[in-house]
Amino acid sequence: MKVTFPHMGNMSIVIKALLKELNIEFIPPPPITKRTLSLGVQHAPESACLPLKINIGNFLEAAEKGADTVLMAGGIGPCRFGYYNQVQREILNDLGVNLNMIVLEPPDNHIGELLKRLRTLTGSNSWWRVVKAIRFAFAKCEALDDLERAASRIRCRELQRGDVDRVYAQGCQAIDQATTPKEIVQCRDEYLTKMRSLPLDHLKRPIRIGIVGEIYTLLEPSSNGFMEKNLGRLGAEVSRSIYLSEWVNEHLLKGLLPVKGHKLTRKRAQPYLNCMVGGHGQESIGATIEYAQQGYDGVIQVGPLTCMPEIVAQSIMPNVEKDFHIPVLTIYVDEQTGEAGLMTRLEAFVDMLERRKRIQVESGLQG
Amino acid sequence: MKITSVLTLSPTKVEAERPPIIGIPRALGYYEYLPLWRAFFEGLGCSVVLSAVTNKVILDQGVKASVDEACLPVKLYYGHVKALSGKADYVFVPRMISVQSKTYLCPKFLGIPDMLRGAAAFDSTYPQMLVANVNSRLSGGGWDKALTEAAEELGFSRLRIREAQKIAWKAQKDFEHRLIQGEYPPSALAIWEKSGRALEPGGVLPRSTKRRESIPSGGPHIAVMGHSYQLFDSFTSMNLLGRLKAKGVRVITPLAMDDEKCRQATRILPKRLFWSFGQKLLGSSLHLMNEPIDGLIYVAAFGCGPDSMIGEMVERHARRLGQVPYLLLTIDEHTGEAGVVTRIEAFLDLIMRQKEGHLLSAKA
Ligand code: SF4
Ligand code: SF4
Repeated sequence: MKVTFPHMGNMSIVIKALLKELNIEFIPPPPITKRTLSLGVQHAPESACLPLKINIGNFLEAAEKGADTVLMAGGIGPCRFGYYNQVQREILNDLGVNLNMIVLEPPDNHIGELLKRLRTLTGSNSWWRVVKAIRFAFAKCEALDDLERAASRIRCRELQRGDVDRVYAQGCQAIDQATTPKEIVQCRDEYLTKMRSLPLDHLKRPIRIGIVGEIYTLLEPSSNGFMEKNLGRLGAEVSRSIYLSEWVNEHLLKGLLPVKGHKLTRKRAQPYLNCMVGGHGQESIGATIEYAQQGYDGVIQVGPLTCMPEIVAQSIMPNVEKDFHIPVLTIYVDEQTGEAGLMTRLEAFVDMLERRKRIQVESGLQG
Repeated sequence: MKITSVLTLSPTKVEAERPPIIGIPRALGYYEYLPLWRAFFEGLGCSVVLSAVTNKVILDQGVKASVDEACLPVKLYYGHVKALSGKADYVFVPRMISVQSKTYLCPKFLGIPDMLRGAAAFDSTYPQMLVANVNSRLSGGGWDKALTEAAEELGFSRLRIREAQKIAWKAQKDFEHRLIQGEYPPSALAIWEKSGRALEPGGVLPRSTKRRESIPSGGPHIAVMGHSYQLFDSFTSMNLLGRLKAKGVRVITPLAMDDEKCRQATRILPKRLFWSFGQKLLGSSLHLMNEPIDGLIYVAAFGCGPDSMIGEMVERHARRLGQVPYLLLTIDEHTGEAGVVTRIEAFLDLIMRQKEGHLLSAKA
């Protein structure tokens, strides 16, 4: 069995750690490139949402390298994601690509179904060992998130363009190599320090932008035109509503680990969106409110074109904008979205927020 | 910080002596649940008004009030709700989370009452909305609970509500029975669409006096798949059913399929589909493509999530079987009618040629 999986941000480092701990052979998909996307676009339904297409590209490229099994997350509605693997299975089938799919999702009838599915993966590993491997992988996940958070916060202050991203990439690599929990923490601390000791403009008072939206386009930089990096370079401090460890804990581990979840965020959304709508629709509304309350200057909502939960959230966003006085820019991406076109929109948004902030400061609304 | 703007819209009781007038938007759930809703509210003694058949004004209003990215059926829903302002005391806007255990409707159905409230916060001409959650995932959380909630908001007593529910279900079951019997859905619905009261309080159901639409025999038999609000709103389907009928085509839609057949047909798939109507669409399609039909048309809403997945499954299975011609029509408010007509005609030509081919080879 040679296991592969779809890319999503730093997920590959985390899954690699898990599989290595369990002595399972794996073949990570090659990094997402134009070719990945065009393979996906060629074989996936045109009207599918972008993550499904990129997934297909990942699977095909991994299969070329010899992978025979896919490990991926699933779901039971109400959004498309829960049915991804079924459609993907049919597509691969018609292409004559034989990939066995192991889908992590709540079982239909009985917890035994899930355990059985997991057993095909974990083989002879004891449950204790599985738990240990999950914890190890999760530690990597959290460390990566810490680095990513720091990078998005300070990128706007770098005096030498590219410094932060260089250190961030090195940090990710170091965490990828780490073999013990202790080493993970050491790597994290080391690279956080390295990042902070870069030549930075500490006096700058940048505008602050929160990014909310659909999980894949939040976590996978290549799908959102490297939005966080570009916003940083345009001079904005950036934060994101969801990081990988939070998604893994809430979605895959069902909140087993004591990590901050988004319950409160969803609750904040309720006066506006009083029902879960799948995906991260409620979180998008709730997190926008939180950013406004924390004094952020603006929010960007991002999602794949035709993303249903985000369309619901977008429909309600004007009410949040009005009540909390926070500008929100909604950006949908698909295979035709170019980084250049996105850049123009980001620039205009950053300009607007900076002007707005200046006016506020001058009129003494904000110190 | 003021966040009351969307919360202040919950209905207040109508003070007048007369029972309230309930508006029902002719969109989304309407095509499957009108009899239930109408009989229920009339059973309570309310009057019911329906929004007009989709027209340009309704479309424009809907397009204006909603975000560009929304699917056409959702845009139309905004328009239909708005069209009822000034005509009804409340517009019934059920939040259809789930109508069958372990299933969902699409995320937009889950969010639509909030989306409308959001729009209403910016536009004071929106009618008052009567929102109730339909959630069959919870035990006892289906239509009965939703209707009870709605009627209690209006101040009706439990007893009255129970009576009305009995009438409502009788109406709904009768309607569903007719559909399964193969009655043309628009005619089965028509008795519930007539203006005036469909039934007197506590009275019996009206029997259709109309004769069954006689089904033309001999013409090709085509399965037309798609969400009911997509197929039966002649606007969103570009009057597809009417056009097919005019050509003497016999049409079968998912509404005529019983759930058991659909379940059987989807047995071959490793995973159950969690959208209830999606399951019906997929099940009917898979079932029918193994029956002696001459073609299958799938009418999808542009940007529709479920259609993008189900349409793909149907197409792949149809292609693999290789005996049923398949046509996918994707429609939004920008779709040109001429193009659709051409494609339908080309498809019918293809079918006729195939049919003749079969006849010839059968003779040979
Ligand atoms: S949340 Fe959006 S991107 Fe994800 S499956 Fe649903 S529609 Fe697609
Ligand atoms: S099922 Fe499709 S057409 Fe219907 S509301 Fe949802 S997205 Fe729109």
